[in-house]
Amino acid sequence: MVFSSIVFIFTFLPLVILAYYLAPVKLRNFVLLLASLIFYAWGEPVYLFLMLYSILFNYVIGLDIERQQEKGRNGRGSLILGVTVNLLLLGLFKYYGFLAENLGRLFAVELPDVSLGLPVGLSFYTFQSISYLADVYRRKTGGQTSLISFGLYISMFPQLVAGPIVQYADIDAQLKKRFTSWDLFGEGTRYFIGGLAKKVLLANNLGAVFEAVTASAPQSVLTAWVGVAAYTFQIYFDFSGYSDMAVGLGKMFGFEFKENFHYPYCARSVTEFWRRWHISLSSWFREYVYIPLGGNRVSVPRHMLNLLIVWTLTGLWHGASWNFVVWGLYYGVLLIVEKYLLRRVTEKLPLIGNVYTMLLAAVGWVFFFSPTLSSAIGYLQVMFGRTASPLTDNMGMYYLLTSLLLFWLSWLCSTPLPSGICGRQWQKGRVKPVLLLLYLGLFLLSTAYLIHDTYNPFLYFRF
Amino acid sequence: MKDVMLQTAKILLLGLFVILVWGIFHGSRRRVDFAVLRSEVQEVFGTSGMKEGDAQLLRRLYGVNGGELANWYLLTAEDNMAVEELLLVECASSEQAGQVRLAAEKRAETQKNNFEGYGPEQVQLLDNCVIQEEDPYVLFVVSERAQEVKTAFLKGL
Repeated sequence: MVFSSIVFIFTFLPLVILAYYLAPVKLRNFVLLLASLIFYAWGEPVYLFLMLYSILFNYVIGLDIERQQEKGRNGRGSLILGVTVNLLLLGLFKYYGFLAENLGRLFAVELPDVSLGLPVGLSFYTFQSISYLADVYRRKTGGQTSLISFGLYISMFPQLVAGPIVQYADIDAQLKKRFTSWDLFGEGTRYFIGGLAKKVLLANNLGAVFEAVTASAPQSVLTAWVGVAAYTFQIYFDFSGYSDMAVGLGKMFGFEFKENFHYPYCARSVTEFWRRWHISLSSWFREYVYIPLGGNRVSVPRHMLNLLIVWTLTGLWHGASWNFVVWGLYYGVLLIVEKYLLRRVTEKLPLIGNVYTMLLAAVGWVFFFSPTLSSAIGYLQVMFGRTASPLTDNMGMYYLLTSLLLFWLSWLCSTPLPSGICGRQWQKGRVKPVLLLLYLGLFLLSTAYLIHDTYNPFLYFRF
Repeated sequence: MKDVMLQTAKILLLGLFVILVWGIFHGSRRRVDFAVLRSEVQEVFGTSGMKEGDAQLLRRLYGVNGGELANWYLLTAEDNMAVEELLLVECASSEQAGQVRLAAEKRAETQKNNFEGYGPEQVQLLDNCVIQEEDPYVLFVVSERAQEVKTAFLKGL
């Protein structure tokens, strides 16, 4: 089930909200856990078992770590066991095929073909499980004694399938006690509708432009750039729209999730871009990989190596393919160059810094959307006029002109301008009726689009 | 007491993990050799007047990214006025199989809209098309022999 579906918006969500608020406070975690398991089982019943296993296993290991620490040991053995089992599960489902294929090519080793599908959300809830075990081990938090509360942390449907990745220490207190109010519920609804509109009205239409442009290999430099521009905005509105919906749903049930996107396309450097894009993933890698490796408090060569390790892993997290490895390394190298060479330049020239960041992000997305590494290189060659393709053609001009308004709207909505104006006016209470009508209009329009469209998957579901 | 319970639970869960991994490698989830299935389906469907589609065509016609599927095979008619088509897909997950089925339904609907009013034979073929989801496989056939192709598909599984 996806948030941007009729069955979710008009059946599942209203029923869960009703059950949640009618239930006594003590039972609310249970209601949400049950709803989350139904939500997950809706699309992938066979993988529900895997999630239940993950909940039970990490619950026991978390308590075991805490118990060992109470007895004066450090609990490292249990932590290693827990992290290993979590990573093995992720590896089996996500990376086994990639590993088998490459071992076969390199060493003629033939591993059994098991053709496993990737369970939805596995990458996200595995990282949450590791976060829990590490936080208990580092005594940032105690072990969760309630299986229901822990199960809810792992499976909570608002952020289950595409994040944000919630670190356990950030939500521990909210699992025990949280406040709900009409104001918070209303704020959650605003977030949800805003996210829905981003996904349905912007991302899906940008996706249609991208699909049309890339249906065949781009025939001109212009066409290639129109395609990459459409994807650049599509992936932002698709993913940040989903995150906004997740944050909004969380608020409806009294949870406060941290912001996952903060206008990344306004960044003035690649470093800043990654402080604003998929913040929960970057924070996770910083907290549980980069800092334990030594972070930047090491020699320069070691720091560079740390960055390359983190970014190779970030790339691999997105998918088991060489495209993603190259994409991760690309950012690793860019961050090293910025850190040691370009930082002062980009800080002094914000506008140029923004244009340069957007260009580099767009180039990065080519590795992201291309099915293979060679097709990504082929696409980049057309983009930069390294082939015999002309500068412009009719197709490129057609899609540029017919999508100009969409691109302009996308650019506008990727800046803080619209939400800043709405937020300020909302707080002042001046134009509340107008804003209410605006959100109602966005909701109705998005619903109309949903009824018309049958296929609108989230790009980040496959991660 | 608590220690004993925790240790027992740990051992049981690790045992379950071993069973899970064993199940993954020796499980009974239906998987057949895609190449064999494809040739069996193709033999009944026939390839005369048809051309094989690439990933870009798959994306254009169905909105599906071929790179995300386990295996797939697409045949479309060489003649623009012909609607014969075959799509055979092995999906990576149950959810994906559902999405591919929806994409095939949408494709059939689009084609019907395209030929409505001036291509009665084409519309009839589209009305009798077969969309069969047998998790994780999906078959979409537009052909006079659609039912025979479906039989071959089911037999191949």
